[in-house]
Amino acid sequence: MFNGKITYRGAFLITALWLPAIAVADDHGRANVDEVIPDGSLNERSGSPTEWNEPIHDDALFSQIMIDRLEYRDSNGAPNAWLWDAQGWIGNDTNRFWWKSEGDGPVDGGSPENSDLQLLYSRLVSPFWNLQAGVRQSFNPDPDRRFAVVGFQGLAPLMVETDTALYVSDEGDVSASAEFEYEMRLTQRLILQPRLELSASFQDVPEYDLDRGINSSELGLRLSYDLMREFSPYVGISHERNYDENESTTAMVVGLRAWY
Amino acid sequence: MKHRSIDGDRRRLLIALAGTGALAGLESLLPSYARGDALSPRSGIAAQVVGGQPRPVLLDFDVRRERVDIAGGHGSGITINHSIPAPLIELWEGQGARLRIHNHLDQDTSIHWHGLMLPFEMDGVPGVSFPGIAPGDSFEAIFPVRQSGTYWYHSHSGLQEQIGLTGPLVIHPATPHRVQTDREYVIMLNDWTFEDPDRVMARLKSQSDYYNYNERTAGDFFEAVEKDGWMSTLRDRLAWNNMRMSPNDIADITGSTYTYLMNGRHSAVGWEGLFQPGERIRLRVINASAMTYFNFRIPGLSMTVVGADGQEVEPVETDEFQIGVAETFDVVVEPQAGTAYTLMAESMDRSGYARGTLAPRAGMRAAVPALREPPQRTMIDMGMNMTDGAMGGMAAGTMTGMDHGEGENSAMGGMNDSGMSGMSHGKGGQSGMGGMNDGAMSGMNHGGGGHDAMAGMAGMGVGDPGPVVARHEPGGHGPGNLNVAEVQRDRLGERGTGLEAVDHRVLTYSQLRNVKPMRDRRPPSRTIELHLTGNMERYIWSFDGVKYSDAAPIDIVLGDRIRLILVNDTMMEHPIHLHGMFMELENDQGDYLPFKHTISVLPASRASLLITVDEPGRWAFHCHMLYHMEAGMFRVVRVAPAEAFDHV
Repeated sequence: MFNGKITYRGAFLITALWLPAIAVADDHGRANVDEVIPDGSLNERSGSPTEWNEPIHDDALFSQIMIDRLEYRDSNGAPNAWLWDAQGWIGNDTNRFWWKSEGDGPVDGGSPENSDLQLLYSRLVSPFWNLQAGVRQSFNPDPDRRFAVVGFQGLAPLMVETDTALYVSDEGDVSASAEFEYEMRLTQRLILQPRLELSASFQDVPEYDLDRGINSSELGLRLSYDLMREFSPYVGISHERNYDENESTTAMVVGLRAWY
Repeated sequence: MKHRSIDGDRRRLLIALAGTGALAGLESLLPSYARGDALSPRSGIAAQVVGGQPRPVLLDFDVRRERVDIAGGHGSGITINHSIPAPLIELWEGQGARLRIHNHLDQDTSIHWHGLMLPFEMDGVPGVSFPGIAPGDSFEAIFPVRQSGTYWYHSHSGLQEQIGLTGPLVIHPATPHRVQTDREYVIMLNDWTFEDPDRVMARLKSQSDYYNYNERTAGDFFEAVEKDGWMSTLRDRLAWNNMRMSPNDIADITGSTYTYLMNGRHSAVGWEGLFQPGERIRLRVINASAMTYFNFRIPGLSMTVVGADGQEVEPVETDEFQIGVAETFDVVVEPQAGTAYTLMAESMDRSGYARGTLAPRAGMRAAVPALREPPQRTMIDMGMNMTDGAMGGMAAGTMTGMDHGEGENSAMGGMNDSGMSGMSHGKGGQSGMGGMNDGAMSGMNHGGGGHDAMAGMAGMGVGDPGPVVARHEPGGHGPGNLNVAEVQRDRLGERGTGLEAVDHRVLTYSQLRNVKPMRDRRPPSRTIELHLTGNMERYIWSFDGVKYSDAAPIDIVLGDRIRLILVNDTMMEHPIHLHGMFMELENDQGDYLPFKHTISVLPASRASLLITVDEPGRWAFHCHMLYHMEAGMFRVVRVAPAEAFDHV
């Protein structure tokens, strides 16, 4: 088919090219079967020598820090206040260390009135749900309290972001909290978010003015705009009710949702 | 012809010179305007296939991290011989290839020769076939070329493939093509992002719909109310919200960060291929993107598909085809003299496009069609049982029972029992699940066998879903999986997401017919069923709900004939790629099943493949969505004699 010169050159090149390959392949270019399961210790996932790196990194650590609400609250009848509500995690797909912190205080008063920090172990137990357990420390009003926490965080049917927890204080008092959020897209970036937060006590705790039953609720409606997915300023309205003292306040809020 | 081969030789010379590094020092001394094309980092490849006398090929590839003008901006990417995409490789069947890779990065790299049959040690998957190429090291891939067709090559290390390390690879046949052409171009499609791909992954892990700017809105709701009424719209919203999924979830990563490239050029510039009047042109279309399915068409020009995944198929004339990530199609076109044609590659979610032009003279352009309306997922994609596609027939109450992943499967059972009898698309003999195991998959034959068999089936029109062929076993594959395909369909006769209703011909898998009869007629001795699973909310991807890091290799005995059944439990397409061996897609073409190295499995579908296991080795097997693979949708397949496994 080709002239002799080319064939000759081809044959020469093939020989030259092939010398180093003889160790790994037979005449037909297939591997030596003995190479498939090598001697020595093997990576049980890949069957390759253990000293080789993994082909993919599906167990890598990831993390996120989320400021769900960082806001200024302008209420009628109550002092203007500021508030933060943040959380974060680090871990793989299944197991994560999770922290949450919330607090608020008057704008004029300086230090926060209420704040707490939770340190939790979080495990993905079903497709949409994390089981979380750990400790919670609350600061102010005095004296500080410590709690054991167990809860579920995840996405409920109807796309409701849900965070529920049961707390047992170091004095044995049992209480609970629940948060529900829903994101309604008005446009691809403009999001209306109704939010309900409830807290309840399973017994009277006179020291903290808590009666058995629902102690407080917050019903909010926030309108946020995704400047980018990680950065969404918002305005909204928030109605808080303290059932024990039979007080309620309504506040206009302006704030920022951000994460990284 | 002559000027072309000179051009090709010059290009080779430049590449070779660049490869030696001999000119690297000089290059920096020259003003930018005086630098050779091949020497300054650039995007865009010489896409014309040059050909010539069959010969063994020795090439050097220098892998570097460089800043490149690309996608209308200036970004950092991984180049080979200063080019993104990497340059076209031409090999000859029956000759040798010696491909030397030199790693100038500060991290490991690798190159996998996608679709090539070669000794597994040359396959280029770090951690599976070889240790990878350390910074400063070189690797030689040396193998005899045993096949011909359109292929490509890419890094298999981390997410390097996303930022440039992909290139086309064409193998000229030892015997002439059945379909002769006058000119050949590769059409390589890529998705480029200026983001750090590791950051892209982190964002998806934090918010899986991060890149979706086509979510349903309040405005859409009221439009739907106007069109379908309150009850129907509310039921539909409740159904999707109850499942905690979005019908607008078409692509994980979209045009909000991606710029789509054709042969390295973004749509504002476009790629240009010239032709002479009267020429027949072979376009070798390669989807080398990381995450993007494309719809490819040439308005005004019909295409004859003559190859799929590098392997020849009986010619099929069509107007459009959907190409999954990592697939290749060869099409032959005959443009009219004096007319320019737009090559339109629209991303499946229609958030962007790549384009080029076939032009009779330089600079001539044709109209670029507008992007069409984005498609939506349906309850068929969810693997829900539907009778005649009647979405409204499903009460919201029934949907509450749809929490497959959380162990509420009993509710589903009830739903299917009532539904299976209403399976109007099926033909007799398929109602029983018993028929679905092992050997009985042949019972899936739709009877026709001809190209139009699917369309000709009773009750099945163009755009209708394929028949129900199986139901899901109990169990939801654990926390790593959101959904199961309760009702599994044979969707090989479908046109692909978003193309159901277009008013021209669209290629389907069922039309692909091998030019040669099956060489191995043994019945399969073993069936392996794998489910494609994932948790979109948490961005976890897996097979059977188990990620690579929790799995063991799949061991297959050398010499066996096996059947691989893939069931897609997720609501999106997955292009599943087996290294080292071709799979024969059981698409009712009798003894002429087409070969595939990558099969795009439609949502809630069940696909069956036959494999002659004749290549010993450790082979990667994975979803070719880059971020799905990296998130765990990956396995190692070990092929060795039976006795070798006894000692493991």
